[in-house]
Amino acid sequence: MLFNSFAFLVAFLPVALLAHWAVERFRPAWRLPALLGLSLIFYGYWDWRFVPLLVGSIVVNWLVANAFMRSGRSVLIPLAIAANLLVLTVFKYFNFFMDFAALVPGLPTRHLEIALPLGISFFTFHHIMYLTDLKTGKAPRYDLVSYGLYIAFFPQVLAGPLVRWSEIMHQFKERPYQRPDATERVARGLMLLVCGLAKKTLLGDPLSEYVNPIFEAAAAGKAVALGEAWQAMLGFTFQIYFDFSGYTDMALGVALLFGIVLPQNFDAPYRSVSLRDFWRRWHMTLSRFLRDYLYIAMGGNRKGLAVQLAALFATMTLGGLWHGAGLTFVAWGAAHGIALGAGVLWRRAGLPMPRPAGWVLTMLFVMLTWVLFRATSFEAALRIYEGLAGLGGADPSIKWRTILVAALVAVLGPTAWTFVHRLPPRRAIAIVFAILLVVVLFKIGDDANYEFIYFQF
Amino acid sequence: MLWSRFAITLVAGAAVALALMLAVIYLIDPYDTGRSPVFSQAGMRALAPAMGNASRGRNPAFNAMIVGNSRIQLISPERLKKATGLDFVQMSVPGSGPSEQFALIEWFLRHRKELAKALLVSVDELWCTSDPALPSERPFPFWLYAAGAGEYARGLLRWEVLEEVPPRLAYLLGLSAERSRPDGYWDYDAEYTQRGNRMAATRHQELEAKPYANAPHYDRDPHTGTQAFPAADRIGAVAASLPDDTALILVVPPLYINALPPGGTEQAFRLQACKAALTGAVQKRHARTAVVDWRVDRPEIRNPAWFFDTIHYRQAIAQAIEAEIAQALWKLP
Repeated sequence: MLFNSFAFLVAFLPVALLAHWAVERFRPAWRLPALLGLSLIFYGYWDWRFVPLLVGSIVVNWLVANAFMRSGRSVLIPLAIAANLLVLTVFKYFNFFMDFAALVPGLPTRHLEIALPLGISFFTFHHIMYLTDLKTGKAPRYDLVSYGLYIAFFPQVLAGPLVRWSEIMHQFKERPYQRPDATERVARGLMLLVCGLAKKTLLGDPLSEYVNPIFEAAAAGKAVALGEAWQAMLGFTFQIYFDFSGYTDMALGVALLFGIVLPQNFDAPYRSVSLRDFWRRWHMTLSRFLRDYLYIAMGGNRKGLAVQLAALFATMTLGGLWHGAGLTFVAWGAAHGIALGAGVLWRRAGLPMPRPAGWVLTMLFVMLTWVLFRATSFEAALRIYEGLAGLGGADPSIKWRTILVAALVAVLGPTAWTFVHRLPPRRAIAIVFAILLVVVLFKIGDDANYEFIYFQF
Repeated sequence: MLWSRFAITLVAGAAVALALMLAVIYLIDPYDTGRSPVFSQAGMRALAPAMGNASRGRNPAFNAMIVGNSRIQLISPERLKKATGLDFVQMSVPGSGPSEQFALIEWFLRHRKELAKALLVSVDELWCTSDPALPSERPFPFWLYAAGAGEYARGLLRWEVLEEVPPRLAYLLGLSAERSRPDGYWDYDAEYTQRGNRMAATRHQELEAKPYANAPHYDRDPHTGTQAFPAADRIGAVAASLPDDTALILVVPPLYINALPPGGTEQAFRLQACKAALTGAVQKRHARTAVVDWRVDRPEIRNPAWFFDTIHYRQAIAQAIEAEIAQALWKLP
């Protein structure tokens, strides 16, 4: 279920909190099974048919981990990781690769008409992180319930953040409501949830109305005028930020209500002064996953410049493919890989880059490549690029108000996490958040149902 | 302040503010649904028909309704009154299908203190769906027409309702007198004509297209006896519930000749079966029933000047339909 839905906010969340509080208070031993049960209900609410896949994935990986611990057969881990990636490939990339195979003369086009299980990219990566660390001796063995909760914990199961086992497993063992800062966590979690909801419903969703019709027109092959193209590019730049960072704020806020601190995922990325800086601030948990489990595994910066550049390119291209089974995503990732490589060469050459110039170049690059990310085809992206250059008509009309507000908040404002952690416990602040929550509830009540962009990944 | 109190203030404050706002909105009754025990000024400013019909449908000045989508919008309550003496209200909603129209019929009937004299229901191909859920193609505020106060109150929790509060308050306080036409009529013909000929070329191309040029022909209906028309059962139930003196007129709106399935095609057989099902469902359950069928090949539908596109006709045809409706009403027992 969506965090920004009445089903979640006025039904599931209060019931889950009450149940969690009751077991934590009276039956602490039932806390983790209760949380796991709640997580499976949350996951199954969307489509119960995928619950067996999630449960099976947990059980099989846990059995493999146990078998590895007992036997010490290290081959089990790469086999398990390969199996996880195979499952992900079948659901997410089968048709993509079949389209490539069909380019070979004589091979037929085969497509599987299967829905993508929500969160499969995220829980697959969770398995990979744990299994890899288990093999290197960093991770211990866990019981089935704890491991299941690591994978399926409902605030993070659908779209992250990608949590390392070492960041969360010790928290599962605690009595969260017995901590001295328990109520502070709950209060800040509530504020974070409201901030995330506000970012999504008051900025992200309205921007989608600026953006979607223009990308649809581009996909239909229509020319896009100058103002429209800039509106689409700028609008999507901030839409995806407020959509995804809003979702992450909600996830972190909800987790805090259950006494769990999840890792940060955004750190004001549109203030970045270089592309390297951007990837340290944007979807941070994915960036570090790619760094630790792909880039470094490929050699990282320890085997010379050529290997480093190749590893950067390959990592970012695969990161692009992870976002979606399409060549536009691959191109988006590859473009970032090349630009990151160029940044490495620039720094190695000792060339200067003033911060304002770095910021302008970074933002331009990021925004231009978001067009590739959002467009449904290269042709559609090209229509937008033509429009940006004024080749699709000179009409400069642009709906700029929401874009301006979003830009100011994104570039100048603090992150929601920082913001709510600075606030003191004052009644006036609580009332302001209460009013904001009510406004958000009215927005959610409208018939338009806005899913999160990252649910498709 | 302790953090625990902060959290309680936030949650309780939101709950209280939400309850208060919903209560105030309920009392203000932004769409003039008649549910407010405090305010009773009738009428609405110009709103989308789906929202504005809640007010129109309970206006006691009307004793007959027109319901359907844009294909019946051009039927004029004023001209029908001249021809029949009945006070019609136009409650058509563009893009709507049978589900929405049943909700409007139910609303209109529920708010009649005196006998409803006539229901004029436009039945097009959306009524021929085989899906028993009668799915809607566009969002429709079913909550606004709900019988239960709970569903209505839940429906008030939406931004568009909040936006309607200031203009409604302005009207209630006498600060704004802007009202829409009480009878709901909208002459799209006049508006389209004003827009000039910019659309003419596109429209002409659309009218000239022949979608059934290559459709296979059959000697008999390839799906005889296997087709279901669940909307027919629903309109049959409505017919059965009507008072004996209420007239029920089904109007099958016209299509431009090129869009009308030619005889012998699968689509033509389906159209015939659907019309038969709808007609049969009402005629066997309510005596004062008539069908005005314009979805047949007749000279009027061959004149492209009388159509904007294949499904939207102009005033000449609207007035001809009105004449047949009046005739049908006079002929009823």
